[in-house]
Amino acid sequence: MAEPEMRKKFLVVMSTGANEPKKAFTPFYYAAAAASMDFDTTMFFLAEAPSLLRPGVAETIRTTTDGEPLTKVIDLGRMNGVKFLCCSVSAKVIWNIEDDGLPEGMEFAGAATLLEMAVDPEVAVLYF
Amino acid sequence: MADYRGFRIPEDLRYDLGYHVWLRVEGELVAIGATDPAQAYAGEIIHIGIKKAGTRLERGAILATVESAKFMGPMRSPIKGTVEEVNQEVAKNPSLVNGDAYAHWVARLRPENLEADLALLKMGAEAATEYKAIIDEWGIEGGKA
Repeated sequence: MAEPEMRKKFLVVMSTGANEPKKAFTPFYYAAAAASMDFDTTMFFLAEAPSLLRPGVAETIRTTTDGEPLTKVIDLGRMNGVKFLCCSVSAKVIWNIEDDGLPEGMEFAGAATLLEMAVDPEVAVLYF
Repeated sequence: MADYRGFRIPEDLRYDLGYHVWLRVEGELVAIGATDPAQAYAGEIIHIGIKKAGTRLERGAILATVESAKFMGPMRSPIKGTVEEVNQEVAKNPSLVNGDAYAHWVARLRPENLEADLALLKMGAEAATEYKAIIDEWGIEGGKA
């Protein structure tokens, strides 16, 4: 019997936000790791997660008082080639993020985009 | 040997300053490793996953994945070629790269397009000059893993 093929892509879905700073770093770090291992990697922010993308917020999120800010791991993911998508309904309705209000390189997307990615058999989904 | 803020950039090596790797031609093969500033930026390396022997890589493809407590990133190949040899010593004990980045190559590749790829790299003296700005931007000091 042939060996099953490894999945080639990661979809990291993040639903926690600025109200839980200790949970903020891990999804970005795992996405950066997957991308650095040559997996095509996308992060999708929904529910509370877009709160981290509001202007000036990521700079203030730290796990310890002398720790590095969340921007460090966001930049790490960006540097490694992670793609960032943000639920437009969560962002605009709950968090009042304007059309041009996402950080550089991040885009709005809808539920259909997330669901289509999640049913792709090449994609492994990590949910945080 | 150029030295800046405690970092060494040996003049006999070639460098890719986008990928932060050095390269040394060794007969028909080339040895590739991380630069001294790059290992310092990463911090103490706890894991390095290196592509297996026989893997064919384009220039810019991921040759290895480097992980430390605060960093996770790819080490990209500065040349097109095939992995001939993985440095098992480094694979087992990746912090050796922190101790001396130039004494511990990560992999040896058999190049396919060496002349053209070498033309894209910087020689030691030129690389040392350009690394000063990078070291300043990163805010790193030599001798700290």
